[in-house]
Amino acid sequence: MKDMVRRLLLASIFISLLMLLCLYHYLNHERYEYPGNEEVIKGFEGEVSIYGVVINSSDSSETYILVKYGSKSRIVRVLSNLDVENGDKVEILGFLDENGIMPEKTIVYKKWSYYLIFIRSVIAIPIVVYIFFKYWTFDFREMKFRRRKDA
Amino acid sequence: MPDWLAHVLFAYILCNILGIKFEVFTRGNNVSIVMVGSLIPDIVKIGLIFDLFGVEVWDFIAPLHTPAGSLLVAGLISLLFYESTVVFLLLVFGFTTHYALDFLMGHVSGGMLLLFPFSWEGYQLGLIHCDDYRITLVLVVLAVIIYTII
Repeated sequence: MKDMVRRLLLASIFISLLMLLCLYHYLNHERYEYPGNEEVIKGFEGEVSIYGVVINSSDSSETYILVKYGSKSRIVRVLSNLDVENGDKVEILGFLDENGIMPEKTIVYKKWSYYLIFIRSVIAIPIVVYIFFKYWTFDFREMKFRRRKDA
Repeated sequence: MPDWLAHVLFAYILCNILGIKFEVFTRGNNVSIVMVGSLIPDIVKIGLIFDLFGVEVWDFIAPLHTPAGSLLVAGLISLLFYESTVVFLLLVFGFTTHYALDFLMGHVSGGMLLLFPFSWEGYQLGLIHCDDYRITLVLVVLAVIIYTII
């Protein structure tokens, strides 16, 4: 019982500190980062770092990307030729004005390549779960994991 | 973020190499904890679930992908074990391998906030992009070699 109280107390402290860290980041991050998707959707113009999805590259001279922030979004024209297809993800650091964004630095993630990250990540889950439970078992009485004696 | 397979395999490979010198890494149950630890920083990916509902949480949960945030998460997880101190140290080693691998990556701006909350400086080497499958391929080959040798 005493151990359970100690663990609950420690857990409360860790969670509180984690919340404080998150809150500190949320309230201050705009001072240290380039304006991003949120500011662009609100109408900010200037040097920005944005992330979006290519939605129209049928005309090779123009590319449009859909920039999202939560449920809000905005279409931004890219004032440069990019080797992209619809659905590709792009990160752009550049200068945004009313005509569009002039990229200074761009990273393109091909649509298939981006989704492969998730597939490779999903493969890791059963591997880790299997290896973990091969060596550890949960003691429901004490609510703790213990090493398996037979492993 | 290289994919989770890369992170888990990198942790596995490091443990087996270190196991030559340090006995603690020769025990499978310790290696499994390091592998779990290697995924701790990517708890931040719960933001993807919120994305599905159009809720933007990334600016709030970003500290989960910092060493300070990972320390706290490792502390929380270790409370679920009898040998909490040993498990905590193994988890810390695990998430250190995660940051080592992520350090190779590059974005158009920013980088990892390794010293957050004391500094907002972003660190990245910019050698690979997050969708680069070659690093995973190399790690799969190395892991198979190590598994067959040891």
